Amino acid sequence: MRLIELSLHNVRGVENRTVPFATDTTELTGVVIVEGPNEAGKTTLRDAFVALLTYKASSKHSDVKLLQTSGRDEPPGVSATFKLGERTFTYRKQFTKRPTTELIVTGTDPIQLSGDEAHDYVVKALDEKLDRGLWQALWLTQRELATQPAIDDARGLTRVLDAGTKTAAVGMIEHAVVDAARRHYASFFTEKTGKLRTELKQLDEAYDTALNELEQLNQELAAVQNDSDERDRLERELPRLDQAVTKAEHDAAKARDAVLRVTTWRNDLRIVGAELEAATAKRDTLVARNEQQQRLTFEQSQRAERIDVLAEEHAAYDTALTALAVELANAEQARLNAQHERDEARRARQHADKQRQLRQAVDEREIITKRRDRLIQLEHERAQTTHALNENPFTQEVLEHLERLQHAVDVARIQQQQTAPDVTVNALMAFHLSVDGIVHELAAGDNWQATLTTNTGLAIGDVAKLAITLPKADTHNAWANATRALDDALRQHDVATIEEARAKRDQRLALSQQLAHQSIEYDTMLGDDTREAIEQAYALLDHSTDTTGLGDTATLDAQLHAAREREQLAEHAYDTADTTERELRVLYDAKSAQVTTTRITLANEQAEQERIERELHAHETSNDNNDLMATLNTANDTVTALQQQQDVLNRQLAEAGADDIDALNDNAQAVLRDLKTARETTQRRREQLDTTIRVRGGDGLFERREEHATRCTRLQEQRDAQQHRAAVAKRLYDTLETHRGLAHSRYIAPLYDEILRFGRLLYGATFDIELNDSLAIARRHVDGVWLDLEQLSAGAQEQLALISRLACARLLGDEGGVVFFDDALGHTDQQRLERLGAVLRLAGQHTQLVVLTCDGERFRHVGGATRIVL
Amino acid sequence: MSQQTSFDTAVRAESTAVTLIHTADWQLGMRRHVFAPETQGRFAQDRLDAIATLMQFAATEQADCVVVAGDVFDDNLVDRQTIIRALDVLARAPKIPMFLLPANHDPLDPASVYKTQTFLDNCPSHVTVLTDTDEHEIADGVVIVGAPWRTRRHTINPLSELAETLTDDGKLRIIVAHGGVDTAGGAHDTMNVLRETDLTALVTSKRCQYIALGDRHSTTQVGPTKRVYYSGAPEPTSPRETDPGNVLKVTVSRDDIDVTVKKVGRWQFVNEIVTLENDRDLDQLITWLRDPARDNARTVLRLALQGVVTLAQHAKLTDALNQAADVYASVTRWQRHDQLVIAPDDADLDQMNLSGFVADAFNTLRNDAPDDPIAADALSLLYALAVKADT
Repeated sequence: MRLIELSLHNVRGVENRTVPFATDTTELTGVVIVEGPNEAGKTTLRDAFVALLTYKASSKHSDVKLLQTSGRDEPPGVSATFKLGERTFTYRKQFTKRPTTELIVTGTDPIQLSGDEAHDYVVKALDEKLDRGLWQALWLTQRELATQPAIDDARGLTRVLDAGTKTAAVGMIEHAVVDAARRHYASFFTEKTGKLRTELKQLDEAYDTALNELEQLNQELAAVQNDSDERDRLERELPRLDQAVTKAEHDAAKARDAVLRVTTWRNDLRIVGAELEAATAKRDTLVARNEQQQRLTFEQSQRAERIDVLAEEHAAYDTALTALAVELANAEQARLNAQHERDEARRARQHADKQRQLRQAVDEREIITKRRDRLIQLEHERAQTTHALNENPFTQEVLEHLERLQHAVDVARIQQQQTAPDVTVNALMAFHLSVDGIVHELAAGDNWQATLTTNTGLAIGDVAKLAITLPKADTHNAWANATRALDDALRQHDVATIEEARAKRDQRLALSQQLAHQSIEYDTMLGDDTREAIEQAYALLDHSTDTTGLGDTATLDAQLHAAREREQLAEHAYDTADTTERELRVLYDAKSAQVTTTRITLANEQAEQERIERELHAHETSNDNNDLMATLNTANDTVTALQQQQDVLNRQLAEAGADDIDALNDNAQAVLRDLKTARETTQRRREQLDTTIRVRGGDGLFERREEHATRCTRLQEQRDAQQHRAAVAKRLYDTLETHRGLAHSRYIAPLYDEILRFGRLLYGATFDIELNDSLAIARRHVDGVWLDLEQLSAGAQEQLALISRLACARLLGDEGGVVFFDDALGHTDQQRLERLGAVLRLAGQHTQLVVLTCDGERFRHVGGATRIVL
Repeated sequence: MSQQTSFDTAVRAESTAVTLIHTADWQLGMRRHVFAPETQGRFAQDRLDAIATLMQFAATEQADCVVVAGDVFDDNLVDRQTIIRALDVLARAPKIPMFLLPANHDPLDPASVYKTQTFLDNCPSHVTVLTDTDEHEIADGVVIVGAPWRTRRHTINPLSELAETLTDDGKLRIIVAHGGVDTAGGAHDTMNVLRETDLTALVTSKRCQYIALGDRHSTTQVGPTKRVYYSGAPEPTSPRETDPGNVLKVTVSRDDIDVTVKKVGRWQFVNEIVTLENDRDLDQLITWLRDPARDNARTVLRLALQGVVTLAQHAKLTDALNQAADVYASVTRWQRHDQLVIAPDDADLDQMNLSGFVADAFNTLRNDAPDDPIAADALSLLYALAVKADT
């Protein structure tokens, strides 16, 4: 549909206005910019056009009522001329009062209608040609600036997109199939997580439980079977065990007989052995007794000889001991005498030592005192000399300085005397005196005349009248300066003449030499000690020692020497006496010990001799002593007979192999015991198994197991069937979903391409978008950055909203209607507005765009646009 | 005196012929795991009914005795109720002497079902358990000798041991034994297998006149003498069995023998391989499944489907199989031979009327379906959903 002309009469304050949207009815696309200030009626144009196409003239709809001019009685009237397909409709309505509808259709099938018939005709014609919902959804108003058009259910667009994909979109059947497949899938899986539903899991668990129970029953059944098998084996085993027991009993009996025979021999041997042991013991006792008696007799005689020798030795030792005792007493007395003399000499020498030490201490005290006193005196003298030096500043350098000044004066005087003075005087009362080039201002009254005379030898008269030029003023001035310098120096050093200074220099030199001498003596007196050490030594001196009667050093040394010699002699005498006494005492002690030992040994020997004598006496007085040998001979014969009997028995046992018989018998008895035990165990086990098998087998175990096996099989079948059904449902669902996704991509491709075309014109070559299931822009990409729609600025959202609509409109082409943009792009900057001009122009090549704006400047970049100013 | 007695017995036996009913392998207490509980109950009851039927047959035929050649019970540890119900059937049956042989399923071990108090208390008087190899005379000169199993795993078949003790003493001797025979499917047994030549020698040497065998569930003659038979089980238990559900009526004398097969079983285990290529094949299968002549409630069907079907055909097939599952004792797919391919055709597509991505999904599944059963079934599911949506 293309709008050619729209006229309003008494609509919202617009009395009469006709707006031509197209001048050339053959060229009905392009951009029309309707420009006018606020309340000029721009939006009213659009609303009136919608009302004309939508509502009957008699409608009481609020949209119709809003057309009425407030405060006016005249009914609103709207008329439009538009083209629908190849036909041109001239359509007019007067609303509310005296509702009127008139329609004239020209072109193919021309018709002229009025009233509701005309309205119905237009509605039907519009519905056939365009999707009015979609048509109006493409309009953009200020309220919808940033919204994407609601176009996903639009019939017209769907038709276009379907044509674009060249694949028929899903219809009712397909929707029903997809829904059914989804429901079928949801009966097995949760839709959110895609996990198996509880019912299927329970089936799985039930199967596992049944399988476990079956396994348990199988084990019970196997246990019965194992018991039965074991029982069969035991049944076969028992006869073999019976035969083995019988044979073992026979073998055991034979072995037992052999053992009995051997046992008898062993008993005989044991008896003979005991008898032999007793006889041997008796014989041994007798032999021992005989030997004891002979040994005692021998020992008695030996011991008697030894006692005699010991008695002689004891007497000799005793005599020698007595002589040694006398000798030892004499030596002891000599040693005591020597000891007394030694102590006396030692005391005398100690007294002489003390006297000599006292003398030495007194001498040392005097030396230290004298040294300290001299040091104190030197310190005082050095202080005086140093003070005198400090009082005399005339060093050699000072004197030389003064002599240089004196020499300068002498030279200046000679120079002055050799040259005439060069003096200029310019003066009246006050005048200038120039001396050696330096001008002096002199006041009247100064004694310049005398000075001049002194320096030049000239007598100067009245100054105010004289003007004398002294040509040799320089030498005179030099002499005067030198003289002044010398005088200043002498005055500074407080002397009158250079001679006096020279005498003071000599005096200072003498003081310096005196101080050097004093320092040398002081250092010599001090030596290696410090002054503090000397003071400390002095402080430690005992000044109270009484030296009355104390001899001199030589006397005391002679006395000490004599005392030492006496002491040495006494020490030697004492040592000799002491050694002698010690040696004698050692000899005495040794001899004394010898005597004691001999005495003890003798006593012991005598005691032992007495014991032997008593023992021998006891033997000699015993009753059987006379028959001892006879008894011993009889005992020997008995022992021999019994040993022969024992040999015979041992030979018999060896020949019978007694040890082997025992082992064989032991083994035969053990084998018999083992076999009997095994037979009893087998019998008991067989009885146990009989009982176990009867108990276990009595409750229909087999059929219960079979019943469980059946249940397991059925549960497994059910589970497998359910799992198969679930897998089938999932496969169908997944396949449908996969293809739905692919179809969606193909389906939106034409719209996507159109948006991309406009977008790249606006944003550049990097522009890209993602469309959601509702065909709205979900994300935008520019220069490597993807942003969700909500993240974009208001201006960008507004621009995307515009190009989405333009893309739809372009896709619809002739099937679309005129698209209104009402005060759009309010957030768009100037640069984008310029590009949007191109976008709108491009879109206008295939559709009719009407831009309503209060700011025509905003759209001045739209080339070729028709501009209408209200 | 004893020689005279033996001679008299021999004379009588020469002229005596007896009729016996030979049956075996009842295996009472057996369960088939593929059965639903209700089917299992029917299966168990029908096996008891088969016993009642054979006993009635014995009465009708005026048989002298009934011999059960082993495996009366499926296990020694069967439920008490199973024992009581079995003995109750025998107690209600005509009082014909009956000999039960313990065999490998119910050997005479300590757990033997025949030693349980339940069995001893409820065993009818005309029923004898062959617990040893003693001869049981049922008529003058006519004896029944059993070769009972004392354990599940005999190294030598008890019959082999028994045979060594037998001589031709003029009696009409009927041996009741159990176990595999080398020429009748028993060669796989390394232990206790019987040799056909030994059995033939046993009857040709007139040490016995008939050997009633149990173990093989299919009725089978062993050797050329017609005096050695497997009766087979009275009700089938497996699809592998070739001729089950029979009992044998044996009329035997020392010189003659007549063996008649009598069908008593009602159940059948059916393995069927069906190739489906078109609607006609499918219709034939459906007709076959609904065959009114078949006792479907007692039919255990294992079906292998091969060929190619469209989605529509597959849906129809699925419906038919679901219906069969409700009617048959059991319907299972024979996985080893199942090779059915689902290949949608244009008609399927037209009927589904799919477009857009749903049509794309359909094509993906269709491509995967030949090699992927999940994809094939997903395709069928999509078909079902689409058809349902379209209606």
